[in-house]
Amino acid sequence: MRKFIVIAVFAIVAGVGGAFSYWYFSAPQMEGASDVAPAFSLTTLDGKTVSLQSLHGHWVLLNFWASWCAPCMDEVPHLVAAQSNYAGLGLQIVGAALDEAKAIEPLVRRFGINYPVTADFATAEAAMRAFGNDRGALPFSVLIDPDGFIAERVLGGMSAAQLEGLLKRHLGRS
Amino acid sequence: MFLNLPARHHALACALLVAAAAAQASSPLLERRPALDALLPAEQAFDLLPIEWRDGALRLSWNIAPGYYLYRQRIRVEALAPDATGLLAIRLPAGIDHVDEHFGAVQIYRGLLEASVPTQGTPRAALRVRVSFQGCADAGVCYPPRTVVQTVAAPLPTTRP
Repeated sequence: MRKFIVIAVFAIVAGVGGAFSYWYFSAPQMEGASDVAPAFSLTTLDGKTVSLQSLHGHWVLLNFWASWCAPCMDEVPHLVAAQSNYAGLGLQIVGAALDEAKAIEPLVRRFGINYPVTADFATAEAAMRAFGNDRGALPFSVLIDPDGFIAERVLGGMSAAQLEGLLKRHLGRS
Repeated sequence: MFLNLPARHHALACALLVAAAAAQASSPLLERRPALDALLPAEQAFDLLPIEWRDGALRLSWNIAPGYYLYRQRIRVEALAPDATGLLAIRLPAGIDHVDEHFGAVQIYRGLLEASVPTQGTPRAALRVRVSFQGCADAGVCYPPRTVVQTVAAPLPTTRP
């Protein structure tokens, strides 16, 4: 009997703790941001325009990064792998750098980046803030579904496993 | 009656545990991530105090909040006006060694950082000074380079008895 009560109390505390953790770590961090992805239009390093409208029908992972951000660069190889593995499921990653082209171009070559990259500090920063990141901290990623709704927002670098988990949750297996 | 059925209450306990586990598993961002609300704005994380004249040099001080750090090599100071004002190289204290996969061996600062910038001669007018710096949080995020412009009053003329 006593054992049962202990287990039951533990389970309830764990459940409430889980719910609280979810509320604390996910929902409030993006308070005030809409579920509909705000429109964005960015110019890639090779002069093409990439916008939310042009990517309609794709899963879009918009990754805000920079050359001065070590956690951002830790994440890039995982993004490159994900673009290869999930392209067949409709994933299109876009790397929006808060940086200058001359700083980003060598990194594109170094990491073999296989998705569009933009390097316009002001435009990328404005887009990032429109997606709810008013602290300006990087890395910051937003997963947008094929209908243009925000599926998830992630502040901080993702490990390969975390990125895989995110994509599996929403796109299914690669 | 229910409490007298060990098999059932064990099953219920298991169900509660499964429910608790499910609550955890359904939280996609439950991994320990920096919460946006918990992050300080850059101006609070790296608080540059008013620049002062002291002993023939500009004195700069930052209050770096706990859990945040500035990169030594990303601190810059330059005079905007008057043009002729010559600032010499900034003098920074030894920092904390920090090895980064991407940036190599660098130095960082935590807590209170004090630096000085000697000048060529003593300015007779107020100086406009631009200070740039960049840092990160231990939580695994970095802030964009920040630029602050301050006006520093000219030092009072020394009077001789």
